[in-house]
Amino acid sequence: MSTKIYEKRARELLPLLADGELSEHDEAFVRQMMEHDPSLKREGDRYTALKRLTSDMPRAAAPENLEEIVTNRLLEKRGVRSFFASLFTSHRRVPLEALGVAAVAVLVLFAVIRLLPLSNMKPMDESPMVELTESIDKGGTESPTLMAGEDDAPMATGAIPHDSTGTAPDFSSPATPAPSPIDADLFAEEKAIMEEPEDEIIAGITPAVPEEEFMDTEDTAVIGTAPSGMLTVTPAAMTAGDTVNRGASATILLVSTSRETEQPIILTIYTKNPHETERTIMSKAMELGGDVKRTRTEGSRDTLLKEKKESSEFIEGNLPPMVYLPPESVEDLLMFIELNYPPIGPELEELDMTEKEELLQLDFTAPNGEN
Amino acid sequence: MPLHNGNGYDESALISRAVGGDHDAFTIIMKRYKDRVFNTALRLLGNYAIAEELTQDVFITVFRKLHTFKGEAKFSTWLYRITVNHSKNRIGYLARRAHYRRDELMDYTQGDESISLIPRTERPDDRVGDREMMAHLMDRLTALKKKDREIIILKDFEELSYEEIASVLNIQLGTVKSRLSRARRQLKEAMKDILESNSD
Repeated sequence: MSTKIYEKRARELLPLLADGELSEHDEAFVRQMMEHDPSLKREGDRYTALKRLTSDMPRAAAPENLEEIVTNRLLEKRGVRSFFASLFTSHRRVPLEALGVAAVAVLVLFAVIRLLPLSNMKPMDESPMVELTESIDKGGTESPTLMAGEDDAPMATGAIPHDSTGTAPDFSSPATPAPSPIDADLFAEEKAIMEEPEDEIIAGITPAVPEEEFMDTEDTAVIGTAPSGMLTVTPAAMTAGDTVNRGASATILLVSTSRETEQPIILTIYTKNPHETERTIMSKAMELGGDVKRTRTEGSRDTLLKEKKESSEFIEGNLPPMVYLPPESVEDLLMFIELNYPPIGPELEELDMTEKEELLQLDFTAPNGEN
Repeated sequence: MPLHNGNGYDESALISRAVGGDHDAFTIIMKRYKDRVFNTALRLLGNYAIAEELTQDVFITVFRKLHTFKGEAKFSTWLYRITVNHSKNRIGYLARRAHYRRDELMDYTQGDESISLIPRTERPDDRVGDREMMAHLMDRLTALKKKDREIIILKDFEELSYEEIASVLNIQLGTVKSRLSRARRQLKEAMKDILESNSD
């Protein structure tokens, strides 16, 4: 090994010397090189100073009430779900008779509401759903949205998620009248039970996601929103030869959230086998209670309405199937992805070839042996 | 299993109890690790408010996924992995936002006040000096590539071993070394003026 190669190797190891984690052989080598080369010694001293500087930096104190905030957030999520369970726990048992009375009271209340005249209904053109439809239209998308009063499943931008069996989950009719004052309380209660307090469930349509979040980006396309409170999970594989060199493909997993307060999550996962990755993630979504839907990507509103009348099913579009994921499973799916496929897309270009190769488990050697 | 072993709360006992629904045990876990999670997030993201929110998210994830922690790695390693992955997602999300501005992420203040600092040594330095130096260092650090910043934070600020870093970032030990070596070279260059003035 020539002197230059020795020196290069020493300079590579030098920044690690102060960690005390080099092998005995490497450490001895670096120290020997430092003894013979004053510039290496000076550089080594700087690394030591840098290490001391960073190690001595004070920590910022985490917020004192963090535990309280986290606890409250956990309780908010669990609160309503655990309410019914708590009725039957030993420390807060409610007599079954009381539950029976309550159930009868609710039934009676429903019956009374059903019999009430519909004078309290708001005219359709003042309903929030129309506002929502307009807001989507104003967004400039060519979305085939349904208007209030039309008896069909709700649709949003781009592709229209719809159950092939005609039983889309959690869809309430868009034609549902605006709630009366009495209904409003029941709606509020139902909303709380569904544990989606941040969602504005308006006549069965998912609140619009801010327009800017639905802009097409370089690596994904708009596919639409999920039914109220549910997420849409869909894969879209593409070749990314320009980005990660030959042989690599990218899997794009698009999780578009329907929550107004949250943003769509778009994860780009680079993998040697995108289809396998997609299948794995979609299977996991199914395992977590997801429901496969067919998709539709184009067609005017009139055409869609006509088709809807002719058939109870939409024809599958040119996007892959989507999985509607119940809200309670979203964290589980994201965790699964995080732990198995760390999202590396944006950082990929910063990696050197060796790291890319290792991370993607790719072989960058060309078929003819050249690299 | 006794919760207290004389040297403090036993970690595996705390985890077992938290998995079993003991909220007090989970609170102790949060108290024990919140500074580490928060500081990692703060240094990766560079914004107090975002780091605070992300720390909450991390502990909510931990609470929900604690039953999946098998104890094969150290709990702290598992926690760092969740923190780093959450942070990566957040950085990616912020970078995609149309109105994203880099300077938004350079806010180390807590509203109108400076953030509280916990000294890590017994040096008699005044806190103003600490803050200034921290601001300098963080400025230089945030100018590094994300991969370089990430590994410096885990090694030099959080003092993880190479093996722990390999586990947190899911990379090979050799990659940890090469990446750390490169990152330190970059940081040394970026801190040249400060290192030279300190050596005078």
